[in-house]
Amino acid sequence: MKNSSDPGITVSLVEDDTQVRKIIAGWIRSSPGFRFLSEYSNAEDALRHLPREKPEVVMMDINLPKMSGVECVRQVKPLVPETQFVMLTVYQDAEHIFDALAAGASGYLIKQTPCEELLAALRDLRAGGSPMTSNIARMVVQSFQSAHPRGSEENDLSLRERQVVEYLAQGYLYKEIAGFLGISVFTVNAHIRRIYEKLHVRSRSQAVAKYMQFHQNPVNAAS
Amino acid sequence: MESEWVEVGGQRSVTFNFLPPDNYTFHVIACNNDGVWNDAGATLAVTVLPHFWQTWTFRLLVGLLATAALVGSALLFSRRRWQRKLERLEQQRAIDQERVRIARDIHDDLGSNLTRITLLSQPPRNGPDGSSQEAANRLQINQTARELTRAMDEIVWAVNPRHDTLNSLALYLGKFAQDFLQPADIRCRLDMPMQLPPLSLSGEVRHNLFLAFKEALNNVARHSRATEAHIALVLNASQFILVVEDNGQGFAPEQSAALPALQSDRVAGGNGLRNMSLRMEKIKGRCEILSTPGAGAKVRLIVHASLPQEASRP
Repeated sequence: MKNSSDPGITVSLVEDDTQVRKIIAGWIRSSPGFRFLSEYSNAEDALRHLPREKPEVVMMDINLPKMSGVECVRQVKPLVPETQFVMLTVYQDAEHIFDALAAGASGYLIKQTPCEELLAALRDLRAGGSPMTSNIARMVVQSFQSAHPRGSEENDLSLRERQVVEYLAQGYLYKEIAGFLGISVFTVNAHIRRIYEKLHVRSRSQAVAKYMQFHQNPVNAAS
Repeated sequence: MESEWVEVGGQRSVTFNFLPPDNYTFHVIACNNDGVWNDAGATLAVTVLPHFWQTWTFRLLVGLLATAALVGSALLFSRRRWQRKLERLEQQRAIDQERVRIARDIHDDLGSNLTRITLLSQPPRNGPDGSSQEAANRLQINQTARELTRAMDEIVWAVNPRHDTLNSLALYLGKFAQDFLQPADIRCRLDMPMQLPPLSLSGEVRHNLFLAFKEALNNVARHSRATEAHIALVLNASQFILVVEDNGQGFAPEQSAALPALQSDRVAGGNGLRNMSLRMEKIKGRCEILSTPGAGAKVRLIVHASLPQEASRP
């Protein structure tokens, strides 16, 4: 990001398991096309340093000792909108992953992913690829179907975005969806990126709405 | 009592049985041997006092006591029922907490260690060195650790009460089917309602249904030679049905319907089909298998469940 002569994607890693952190950091350090910036064992340290370091990609464990990785993304992402966050997880727990995506992450990786696949996923993410599984697509549809917070019409999904996400939920591949809708895979990717953005905005405005409701009308909120 | 005269003949006594308590006047007239009547007769005032149980105060008291006893026992009964209900709820909560703890322990402790094993046993970067025994062992360790992680994922999912819902079931099965069929090069289409009723499903139902579903997918991947599988979740008022359909070669129904009579090359598949039925019976559901040779196969896993009322509302 700094200048074109700087080769490599800058990467930071937040992971509390020392051994796992050392192994993954080792992979990235020894891979051409990547520059390993920093590693943190907890969300609090990451929260303090990441906004200054502005890596291009942050790999973030979901289960961290005190503050969770999801919460960390929620707080750091607005400070570094250009940074892509990718969650690291042992199990593909759909709800946790969806929470992370709604908080501002752009994807997730299973920790056991073989080295080459992991590096490929990071390159893809940097190049603007937006991975979305049918499971996540399903949760996106559910989330947008439930009652919207007031005054957020512009954050509803467009017809095209809805089509894309519904096909995804049924298990169709990006390529197939592009064929159905007569658009390129690149455009499908762009739609999905936009869907993620709307999801972030939405979950933020929902959080704010909930906060406002509670603080303006604590009696009603409690009953 | 009687206001009529009572003829008693020559006797000098008269007996009245069962005189209710009251005030009475006893009149008697008599005649002598010559037939001369004494019309004035004699009078005797008689008061029959009520026994204590015949008094109104006593009856009222007994009535009150009976009512009080009735009300009291009813109250006690409902209180007991509440208490039992409360105890049951508390017990359920304790079980749920225990399930959460087990899920977390498996997830955190075993999961992180398995992750380390998987990462440490990764094949070397510079191309797989398949020749040496050590590299082969290493690969074996790596694969085993991966499989263990997946098996644990299934256990954690079944154990954790957070997933006791139809929606979580749909998410998990959809994800599982895609991951399972992808390596076999079978496209997987999902057709599940986006909004599912808030139906609560026990870990047992979810686990058995999952294993039956896995068996159905296994048949598709191993035996069907299909290129596409269709997974659907259908709901109606009293049950939900999980459908696994493929476009493969199918099989003759008698091969599967007459489960014990299997001796063809599909014995393994037959066992799979039998297991599927057993799994479904355990949760009071059933399993239907429809297939014609050359025209694919369809497995319907049926679970009885009364869906909440909101589900039928538009």
